[in-house]
Amino acid sequence: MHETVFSIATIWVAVLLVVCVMVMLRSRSGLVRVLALDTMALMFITMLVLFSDSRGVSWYLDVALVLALLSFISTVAAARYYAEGRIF
Amino acid sequence: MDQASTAAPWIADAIVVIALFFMTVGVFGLATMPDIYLKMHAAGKAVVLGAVGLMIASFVTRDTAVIARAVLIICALLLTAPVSSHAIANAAVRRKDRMRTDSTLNESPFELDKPDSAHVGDSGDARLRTLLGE
Repeated sequence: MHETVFSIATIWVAVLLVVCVMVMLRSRSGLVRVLALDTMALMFITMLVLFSDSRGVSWYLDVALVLALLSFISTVAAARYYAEGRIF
Repeated sequence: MDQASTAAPWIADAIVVIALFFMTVGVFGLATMPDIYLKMHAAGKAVVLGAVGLMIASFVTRDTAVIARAVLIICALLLTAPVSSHAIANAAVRRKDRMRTDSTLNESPFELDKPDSAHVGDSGDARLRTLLGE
């Protein structure tokens, strides 16, 4: 039962990830693409947490932590580049 | 096996379902809202709340390594999500992205709620410099 819940949750998060990819591909604004990429990274983090829960392995969460910090830095850099034409 | 340890997986399932509901609402808002400001409102709050809920659901494994890493990820997300949302909003205002709905509340120095005015940016830049004290 609990494994079924986690499997369905993983599939559902994958569907949400596909929706985010469609938003990123179809939008014409650059900032919407940056926002959709940020949300996609969050979906990947969520999928890794679900994998870690269902398999009882902890080192998926290391990847999730690194992905969270990298997505933050890339989002801030892309937004600054979009606004001012330079990063620093 | 005591009562708490038998009830814990069911609590985890309930938290997972609630968190997936919030993430679905956030992604629906990201896909259907007409405007970068409204999209950011949906994606910056609801999706992060759902992700944090899913990490709280992993506390029931009672594995110290999993719980420590989940707490670290929650702290990282709760610290970085407002900052990245603010960076995106700042970029949208600086590039003068228009608000595309009626009855907007515009508190920026630019006239972002006027649909078609080509040269609103000039007086807005002066007002922004005054606000920033430059």
